[in-house]
Formats: sequence, structure tokens, C-alpha cells
Amino acid sequence: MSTPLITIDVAQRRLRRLLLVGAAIATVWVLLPIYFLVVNAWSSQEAVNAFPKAFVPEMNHESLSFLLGFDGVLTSLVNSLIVAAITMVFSIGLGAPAGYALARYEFRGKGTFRLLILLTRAFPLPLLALPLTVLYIRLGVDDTLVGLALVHTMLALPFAVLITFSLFSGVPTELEEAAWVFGCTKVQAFRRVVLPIALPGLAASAIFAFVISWNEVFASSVLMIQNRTLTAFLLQNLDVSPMHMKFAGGALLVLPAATFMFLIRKHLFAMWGISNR
Amino acid sequence: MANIAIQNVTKSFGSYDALKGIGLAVADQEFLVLLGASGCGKSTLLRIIAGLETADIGEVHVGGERIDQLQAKDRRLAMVFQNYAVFPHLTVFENIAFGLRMQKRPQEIVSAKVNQVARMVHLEALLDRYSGQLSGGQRQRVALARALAVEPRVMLMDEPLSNLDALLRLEMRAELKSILAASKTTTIYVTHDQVEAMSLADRIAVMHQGVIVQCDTPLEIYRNPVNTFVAGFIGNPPMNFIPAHAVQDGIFEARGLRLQGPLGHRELLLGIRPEDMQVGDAGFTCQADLIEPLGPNVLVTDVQDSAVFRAALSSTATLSKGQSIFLQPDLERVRWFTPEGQSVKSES
Repeated sequence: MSTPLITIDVAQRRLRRLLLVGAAIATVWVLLPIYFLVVNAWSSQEAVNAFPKAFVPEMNHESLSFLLGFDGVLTSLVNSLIVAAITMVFSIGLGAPAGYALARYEFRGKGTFRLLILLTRAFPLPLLALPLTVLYIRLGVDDTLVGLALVHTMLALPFAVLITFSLFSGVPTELEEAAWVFGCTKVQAFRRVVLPIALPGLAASAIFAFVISWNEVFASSVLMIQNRTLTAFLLQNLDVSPMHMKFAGGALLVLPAATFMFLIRKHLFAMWGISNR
Repeated sequence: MANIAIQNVTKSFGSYDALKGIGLAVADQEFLVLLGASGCGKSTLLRIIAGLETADIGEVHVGGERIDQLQAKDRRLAMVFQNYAVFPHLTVFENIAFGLRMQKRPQEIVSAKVNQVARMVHLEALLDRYSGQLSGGQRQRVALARALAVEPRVMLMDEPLSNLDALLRLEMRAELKSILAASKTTTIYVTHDQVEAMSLADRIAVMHQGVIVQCDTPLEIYRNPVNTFVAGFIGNPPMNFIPAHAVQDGIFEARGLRLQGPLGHRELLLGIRPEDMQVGDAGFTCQADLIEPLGPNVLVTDVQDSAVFRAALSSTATLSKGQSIFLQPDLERVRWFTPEGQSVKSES
């Protein structure tokens, strides 16, 4: 009677140990490059090129401050922020209503529509680059921040639609109906009941759009000449820069995105259907 | 506080006819229960009255005013939902105040009203809580209080007790009855639970396949069902139906018993409730295949010939399994139905 119980216990413990080891490997796999990036970004040029490597950063701000003082870096940083902010507004402004419609209404072609949303990601951006550039030049939106934000919105929109779709699906219809019965118009019911409940998830998906835009490099390299975003600017300039500059640039790119992700991690988990408690 | 008149309300979902020309009048301050199995259209009818669903044809009047073209928000009704629909992002206080806030009432009136209603449903200690911190019964009370707070013309309730456990349901049922009686609100209450319907209703409307089959007081429906569907649906265990054939005009034989019935029929169904029979020297033949002592009475079941025949006898009756007995019916409680199930009046 007790023997099989023990076997199960041992098997379970073994499985848990296996899981832990797996998790540890995966964590190191992701964190190690970031760790070296950060260490080297805060090291002097000599330390970066020296061998063996240091495991603690020297807290040398030389490379970073040089980079920040470099002509164009601050402008492109501001560009990046503006484009990412516009992308965030556009993709939620367009994506949330679409997600709401998918969650609440039955209409012809709903399944096809959902598939089409995903299909927009099936075309690689390089394929679209030439026609897009020609179109942008004709329309006169090439090399403008709004123009670039539109491309980024296109990239972020499928996620925004699908995430808000599942968010709004999670808000019971009865809550809205109760609001209507107790005197709300449809708009008021949305504002007073659905929106507050969905808000954390909406904020998370907005920041997700922000990060997508922040990390995007191809479109902003192709479409922009004067007003490059930070990613494109660094890609162009760091290619020919010494090692310690590359590390500093890398850190400058990774840290804001990583910080954002860290701040919203709770809501991201809730968003993907995992409980946030 | 108003009467309700429903005229010829019809609704289809695709090719499925959910409601087929419903007509119903509910008096001011009346408690009407819509009773039926799931899919009979009772919830659809309630949602049409509330304005959450639109009828294909037909009219709904409340207090003499036609409301079926109005939006839900303009109908000045209140509704209690099956899963409570308590707003999770608002406190109990704000939940109860929701309707009043939408009416833009001044703060002091809102808080006076909320406190008054909260006292009525015993929530005054929980006004600062969120719904996540409440039990099912407490959420139920919040939903009820939110509906009472707006002093609606009509209170609509969609199976409000069905998500509660059995004991709490019994408790809430009694409480609901006294609270709603005190508030004097006209109420339409949807349920599939016939005991709930019997205990709460002034009148019950029994629905079946999109039609109101019978609408009457609970006792009248219990005593004089219009057809075998209603007879079988109300009462637990259900009414027995015994095939009876005429041995001469007006005299029928059923299960070995001859008794007087309506004139002018050859084959009929005799309906008798299990509790309207007692053991005697003569009566329906019954073999006690199954004996279930239930406490207040003992349930005897005859399963011969695939026709179930049940009697609820006094618990003092001493019976042994398989014993053949005679069950004497209370002749005043015998009802007659055509083989198609329609009630036949016995003129005698």
C-alpha cells in the first residue's frame, strides 16, 4: 500500500528537479547575454577589450556618456519615444474597438477576419519595403514620425486586436447588461464598467505595442533618413564603432524595453491567461 | 410599481421559434413566476421585457406606457441576474448606488437610500467590500439591493437563486419573499424550480416550447392542471397517469377500479397525485416494487408494464416489498385527460 505511494513521490520529486534544472538553463540562456551587455556597457574601453573578462562592472560611465553626447543620439532617442507613443495610441485606438467587436458581436466573416489579422504578420517587412517606400514618397509621409508610426502600428495591431479580444471576452456580458438596465447607454456602460475592468490589460497591451515599435529596426532604416529612431540610428552608426560603444549602445536599447516589460509583467501574465496572483 | 401587459410577443432565433405569440397580464404589485424547463423561452421573454433582447413582433406595456421600443436604460425597470453581475471594480456601496448615480441623484439621497436598502438585505457591515471578498449569498444580496435601490416600476429576476447551494437557497427564498412583499414591487421571476415557483408566486405562468401553457395561482395549477405536461411538471413526485377505458358511458375502469368519469369518451387518462391515495380494501391495484421511507411519508412505486405508478403513503403504513395492495383515491382529486393530454372536465 505504501510502496507505490513512495514511488510516485520519488517520481514527482525527480520531475520537479528536472523542471528546476530546465528553468535554470533557460534563465541563464536569456540573462547571460544581457548580463555581459550591462557589465561591458559600464566598463572602460580597456576593460572591454581585456581578457579575462570582469564579472563586476567598473561603473565607468565613459562609454555611455560619450554615446549620449554623440551628435544625433538624443534626437533619435526622442524620435523613438515619439514614434513608440504614437504607435501605442494608434494600435490601442484601432485595436481595442476591433477586439471589442470580436468579443461581443456575431457577424458574417468573423472567423475569416480573425485569420486575416494574423495573416498581416505573414508578409515579411523586407518584402513590403519597396512598395511601401514608393507609396510613402508619393503620399509625402516618408521620413516623418507619423509615417513610421503607421508602419509600426501595422506590426503591433494584430497583437493589440487579439489581446483586447481576449480581454473583453473575459468581461462577462451580464455586467454590461446590468449597466444598461440600470440606466447606462452603451457608451456609458463601456466607460463605467468594461473599461475599468479591462484597464490593466489594456495598459499592458499598450506597452506591448510600445516595445514592438521601440525594437523595430527595418522600417525605420528604410523609410527614414533624417529622423531615424534610436534602433536604426545605432544600427547604422555602431557598425563601424569600437567594441565598447557597441555594448553601450546595446544597453541603451535593451534597458528601456526590459524595464517596461518588468513593470507590466503582472498584467502580461494575466493577459496570457495565467493568473496574476 | 405598475402593471404589465404583454401582447403577442414573438421571437425567433434563425429558424428556431423561441416565443410564439405570448400574451400575459401582470397586476400591480403582483409576484408572477415564469416556470419552465430550460429552453422553453422564459428567459428570452424576461430579456425582452428588460430590453436586452428585441421581440420580432408584439408589444410590452408597463403602467400603461408602451416600452418595447425604448432602450433598456429608459425603461425604469430593475433586474437581478442569474450570476448576480455585481460590478467587480466597485464597492458594495457603489454597486448598490449604481442606478441612483446614473439618475444623477444628489449624494445625500444616494447614501440615505443605499443605507436603507443595505439594512433591508443585511449588508450594512459590508458596504466597503468588493465583490471578490463576498460569498455567493452576499453577492446575491448586493444584486438584489442594487435593484431595490432604484425603486423600479417592475423587478425582473432571472433564476436568482439557482447558483446558491441548497440550504442557502431555502434561506434566501424566504427572505426574498418577505423583502419583495415589503417593497410592494411588481415582480416577474424566472425559474425552472417548481418548488421555488410554488412558494414565491402569486401566480405561476407555466411555459413550454415558447408558449404559456397555463397561468394561474400555484394551488389552482397544482389542483387543476390544463394538460398532462403541467400536471407532470408541477409536483414532486409527479402526477400518475393511468390509462382508463369506458365500460359504459361515464363509467371508467383503471387499474382494476371502476369509477365515474366524464360522459362521451371511450379512452381517457386518469390523473391522480401520489399523495391523494391511501391503502384500503378496494382501489387501484398496486404492487410495492420499491419502498422508499422518506420520513414524513413513504413512497411506494409500482414499475410493472413499464408504467410507473407512485403513491406517497402515510409513514405508519406497514408494507413489505412485492406486496400487492389496493390504493383508494380521493375521488375529489381525480382528474381526467384525453390521450393527447388535454384536461377533460368531469360534469357530475
